[in-house]
Amino acid sequence: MALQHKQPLLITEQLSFRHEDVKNPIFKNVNFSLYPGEAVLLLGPSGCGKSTLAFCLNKLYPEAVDGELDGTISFKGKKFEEFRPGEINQHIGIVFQDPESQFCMTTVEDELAFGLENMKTPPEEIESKIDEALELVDLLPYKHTLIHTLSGGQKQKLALACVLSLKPEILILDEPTANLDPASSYELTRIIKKLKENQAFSLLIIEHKLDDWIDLTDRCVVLNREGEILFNGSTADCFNKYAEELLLEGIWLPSAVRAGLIGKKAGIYKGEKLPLTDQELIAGFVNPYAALQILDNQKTKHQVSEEQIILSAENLYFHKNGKDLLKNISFSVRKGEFVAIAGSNGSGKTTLSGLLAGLYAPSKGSILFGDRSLSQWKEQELRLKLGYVFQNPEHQLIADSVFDEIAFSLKIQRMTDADIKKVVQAVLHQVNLLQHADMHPFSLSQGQKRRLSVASMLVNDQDLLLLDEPTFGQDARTSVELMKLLETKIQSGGSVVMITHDMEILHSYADKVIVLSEGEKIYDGLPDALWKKEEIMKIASLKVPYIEKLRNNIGSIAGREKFALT
Amino acid sequence: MPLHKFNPSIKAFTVIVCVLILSVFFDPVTPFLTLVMTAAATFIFGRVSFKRWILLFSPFIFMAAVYIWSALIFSKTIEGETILWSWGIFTLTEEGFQRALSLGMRVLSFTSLSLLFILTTKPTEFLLSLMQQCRLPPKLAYGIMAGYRFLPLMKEEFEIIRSAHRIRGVPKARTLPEKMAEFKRYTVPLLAGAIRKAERTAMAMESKGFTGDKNRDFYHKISVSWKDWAYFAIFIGAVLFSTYISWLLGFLKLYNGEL
Repeated sequence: MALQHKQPLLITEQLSFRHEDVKNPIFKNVNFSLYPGEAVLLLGPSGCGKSTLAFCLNKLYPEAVDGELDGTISFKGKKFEEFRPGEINQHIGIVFQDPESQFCMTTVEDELAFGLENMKTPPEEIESKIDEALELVDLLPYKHTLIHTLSGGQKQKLALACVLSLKPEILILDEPTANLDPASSYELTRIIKKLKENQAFSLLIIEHKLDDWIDLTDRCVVLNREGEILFNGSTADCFNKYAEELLLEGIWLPSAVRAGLIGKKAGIYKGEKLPLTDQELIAGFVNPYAALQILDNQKTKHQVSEEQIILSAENLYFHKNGKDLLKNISFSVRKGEFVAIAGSNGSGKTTLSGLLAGLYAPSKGSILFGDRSLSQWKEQELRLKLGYVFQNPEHQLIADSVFDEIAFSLKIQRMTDADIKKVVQAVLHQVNLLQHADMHPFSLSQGQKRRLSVASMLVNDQDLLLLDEPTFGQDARTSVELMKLLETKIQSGGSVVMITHDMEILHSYADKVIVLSEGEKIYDGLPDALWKKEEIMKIASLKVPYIEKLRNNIGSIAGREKFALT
Repeated sequence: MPLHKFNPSIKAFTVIVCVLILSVFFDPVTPFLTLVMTAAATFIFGRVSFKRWILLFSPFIFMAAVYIWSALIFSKTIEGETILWSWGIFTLTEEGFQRALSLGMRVLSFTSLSLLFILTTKPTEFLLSLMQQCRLPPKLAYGIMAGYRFLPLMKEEFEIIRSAHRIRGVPKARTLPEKMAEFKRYTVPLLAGAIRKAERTAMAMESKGFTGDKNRDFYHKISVSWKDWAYFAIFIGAVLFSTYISWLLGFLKLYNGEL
């Protein structure tokens, strides 16, 4: 590639990082270079040290933690140690994952000024630079807005503007879309793509969901579970040659690659290489429409009991601090049903799930759970029948060991020790955590914590399980494992209500979708029918799942061919 | 010129000096006059709504009432004081009544001065001014600003943790040991979350090139002009005027360890 002939901007040599008091390094012997103007995707399973590496490349680590960094990093031929504190940050900027904890000022303008002041920008130039940066991310109308009133997507755009205002040569994005709804996350990638075309910076992107990024990256660097480089080369090669290895490592594949892989196994994909884009994928199918059928067969069907309603909400209203958070919501969940709740950030999804779980009472309306109203249930009895899994698994973990975590609710029920042991072991075996029974829950990996938090809700064999975005920020393997657990739950006659931004999960698992927008229910029905309601999809910031996108693409290609023939 | 426009550090300094002057005297009239003038300034020049002001002020009225009450009931009677009323062990003298009233008024006048400052000053501007006029280290000032953003988040986090425990079927804590255990269960995740957030914010600040360097040119310049010193002079003048009136009325008394 032409790019490779230029001098690299950033070079790492034999880079290893180890936290103090931990024997194994997070990552080791990492050698890689970043060239001017290129976009590199950094991939790896969760916990492999991608973020740690990013922090090292920005000189935030090892200063910010007790850890040891071996090897060297140099920027434009100058070693990192030779830079004054804060100097490297002008050249290398970073956007973090969490929109809540990136800012230290109260208004948009002040936050941008903060960075520019740090860089000793002459005060009279600051205003024009602020306006310029805000213009780039379409946030100029929000210049004087208070940061805490912005949406998650706007906050991430602001974080991007803060970095851009310093005119960095390298921009690191550490899962910038992990907390965003599908439409906001797509919008952010489009802004970055536009910027990439007009500005001369290099990009290092860390992401789990790759679809929106694939068309703007030149190269992939893959870390494996042990934190070593598994692959370093062009994006096309990466997915062509190593798709199966990546799957084994628990790394998400772009949807086209995954579909190609399934197609290849089924013998319907005849392309020489695995496809990166939809066009390549469609061209490789012998019969695109037949292939769609086969791909769509991945969908799971549940035995939903027609008459047995386990939960029904009637005309729910919820006001708080003078605001109507929920307005007139009614729906029902049947035995054995998988119901998904979708909607943009701040549409009232979490509030609704809190009402359904009986955490707070609705201002108006009623919820019927089992044979009586939710308010008539005794707290302890209710918790044995209804489980709730929080978005952040750490919120839910309250005991000192993995074993006690599961045993917790059993002890409350005064079960005998022998019985407790039997039940706990069975559950831990089911979620593959038996060997970690004695560990402290907080010392588990992100994925393990997720499984444990779900397991603690499976132990009582609850009739209904509510989950608040459980797959958020998880790698491919964890998500698959989680969905398997939920499937077993449903097979055994339980019901699941899940809030999710993930349209693929919605498409493959949900029997029914409820879409919220500004506290109102705007859709209640089958997922397949939802994809055709463009108006609703737009209002709720949803995107069609891959298979629907593919169907549309096949349709338009076929249409074009027909047009060419006539 | 609205009070919001004056330099925050000078405003804070004014409050401190006024409080110091007021503490020299111990009579009900001086603080009462100051209170009236400060409150009037808050409404007229501070454009603060009465409703908002009284909401913040009322707890202190209650506190002052309790002070006055207890000072009345439990005052020591000194020989030669005029006795107004006496019942059993309780004796109310005119001097005792004045002392109690002085104390109550003192509390209220201090409160009104502080409220004037709080309600007409933006926290960000105050910190910027402290850095620019009083050489407050940026490390501390920006740290406080970041922490200020966290407060509402902490409350949210607490609610979530409480719900999470309810979901697990934790029974309501009734006995003391149960309450202690509950407290421990809440604090550990709450602190862990706070520390994680603080670390993240610190990193985000560093990634924007923040080093805590004291040589800093500010985008928002908070300046000091003759107007700010005029503000200072007017307020001190108002307090001194109160003492003068009090003296004319024959109430003025220096504080002499009455409490």
